[in-house]
Amino acid sequence: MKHLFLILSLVFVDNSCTQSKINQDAITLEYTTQTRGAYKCIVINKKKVSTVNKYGEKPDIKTCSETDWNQLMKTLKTVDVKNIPNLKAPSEDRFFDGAAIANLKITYNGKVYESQSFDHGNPPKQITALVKEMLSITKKIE
Amino acid sequence: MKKVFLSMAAVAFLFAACSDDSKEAIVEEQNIDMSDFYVYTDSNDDLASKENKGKGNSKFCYAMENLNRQLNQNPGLEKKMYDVEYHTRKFLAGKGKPPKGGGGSGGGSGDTDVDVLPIQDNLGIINIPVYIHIVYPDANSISTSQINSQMATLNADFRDINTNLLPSGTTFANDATDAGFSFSLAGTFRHNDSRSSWGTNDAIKSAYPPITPETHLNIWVCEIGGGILGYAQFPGGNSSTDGVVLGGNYFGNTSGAYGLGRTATHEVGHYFNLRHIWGDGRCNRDDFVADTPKSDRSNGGCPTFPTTHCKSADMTMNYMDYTYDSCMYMFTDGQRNRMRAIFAPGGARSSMIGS
Repeated sequence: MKHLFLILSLVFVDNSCTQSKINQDAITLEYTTQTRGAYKCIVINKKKVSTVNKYGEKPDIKTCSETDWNQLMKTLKTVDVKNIPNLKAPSEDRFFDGAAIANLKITYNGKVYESQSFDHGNPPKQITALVKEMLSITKKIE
Repeated sequence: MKKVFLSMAAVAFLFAACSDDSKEAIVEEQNIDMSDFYVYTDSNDDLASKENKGKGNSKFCYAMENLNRQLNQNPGLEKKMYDVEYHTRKFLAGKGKPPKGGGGSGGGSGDTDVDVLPIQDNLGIINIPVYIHIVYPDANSISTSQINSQMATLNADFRDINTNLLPSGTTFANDATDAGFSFSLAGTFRHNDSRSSWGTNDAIKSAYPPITPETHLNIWVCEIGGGILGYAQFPGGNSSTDGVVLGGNYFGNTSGAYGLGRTATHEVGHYFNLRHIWGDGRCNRDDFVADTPKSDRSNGGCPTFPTTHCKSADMTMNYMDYTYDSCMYMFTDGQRNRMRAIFAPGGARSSMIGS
C-alpha cells in the first residue's frame, strides 16, 4: 500500500512537471565575475546575449541563436533552480584574491534565484554545466 | 594496500585531531568561541545551525567535518587555519578583548559604533624583511625606483592613520589605526622568463621558490592574467608557497586606478590574516574584526559616503575592500590587533620576530 502511494505520487509529480509549461520568454540568466581590477557580466535571455566587460560600460548586445538557447534550456532543466541560493562553493580561493568572485542569478517570472558567491572556474557542481554553457555561448559570439 | 593504509592513517589523524580539539574546547570553553569561524562555506552553515541550537552545544569536531575532502588536495590546511584562528582569538581574549569575532554592529541596529582599542602586545614596530622576485621576459622592466616606491607605500600604509582623508559624517576616525609594521627590502631577484601569464595556482612559486619564508615576506612580481591584480596566502598555509604575488602593472607607483601600490597593501593584509572587509558572504558573514561594519558585498571604484549595505555605512576606504588605490587609506584597530596576534608567541608568523 505504502509502495503504491509512493508510485502514485511519483507519477503525479512527474505529470505536474510535464504539464506545467515553462514560459521561456520569462527566463533570464545572469553570470557575473569580479576581482578588484576586473568585472564581467553576462546576461542571456531567449532573444539576446548581453555582455558588460567593465564597470559602468555599456553592454555589448548580440542575438541569442535558437540553437544556443535550446541547448541552454536543456542544461537548465537539469538544475534545481529553487535550490541555487543554497548551493555551497567547493573552494574559497576568492578569499585571498586567488580567483574572481562569481555569482549566478536566474530570474523566472520576476522571481530571482541568486547563488552565493563562488570561485570563478570552480562553481558548485550542480551548476557547472550551466555556467560552462553560458560562457561558451558568450565566447562563441565574441 | 597503500590506499587502505592511507585511509587508516587519515582516520587516525582525524581521531587525534578531534580529541585534541575537544580537550582544548573543554579547557578554554568560557573564553574562546570559535562557532562563527569558517574556512569553507558548507562547514559554516553546519556551525551556524549548531550555534542556533544553543551556545552550549557549539562544541564540534571541526577536523572531521571537512578532513576527507581536504586530505585530497591540501592535507591539514584547514586544521592549521583553525589553529591560527584559535590562537588569534585566545591571544586577543587574553588581552581583554571580546573573544568573539563579532560583526561591526553586533546584531544591533547597525548604527552602533563599535570601538576597539589597540592592544598592548609589547611587540613594538614589527619589521618585516622582504625578498622580491621579479619574473618577466625582461626582468629589468620593473625598475629599482618602482620597487622602492612599493616599499615606501607599504611602510606608509601600515603606519599612517590618515584620518584627515575621511569624509565628513563617518564614525571611522576612532577606528583608523597605526598598524605598527615596517618593511625592509632584504633582496631583489630578477629572473628573465618568457612565460606570458602565471595564473593563480602558484606556478610562479614552484618555478622560483620562496627564500626563507619563515623569516621573510616573499613577493613575486609577474604577469598574473585573468583580471587578477594580486593574490596572497593566509598564515597557516604551506611554507613552500608562502607570500604574495603581484602583477607588475599594480606594483609600486605605476598608472591608473591601481597605480599607487595598494594592491600590495591589500595582499599583505591577507598575508597577515585579514579577510575581506565584507566577510566574503552575506550580511551574517563576518571578517572576524569587531570594528569593521557588516556588509554583503565588495565595493569598487571610488564610492561616495555613505554607501550603505546591511543597514550600516560600509568602510569603503578600508584597505581590505575592493576600491581604487586612491580611495582606500585605512586599517582599523581591530584589524591591527588581528594582524599582530599572529606575531605573538605561538602565532603562525612569530618566527619572523627578531629576524
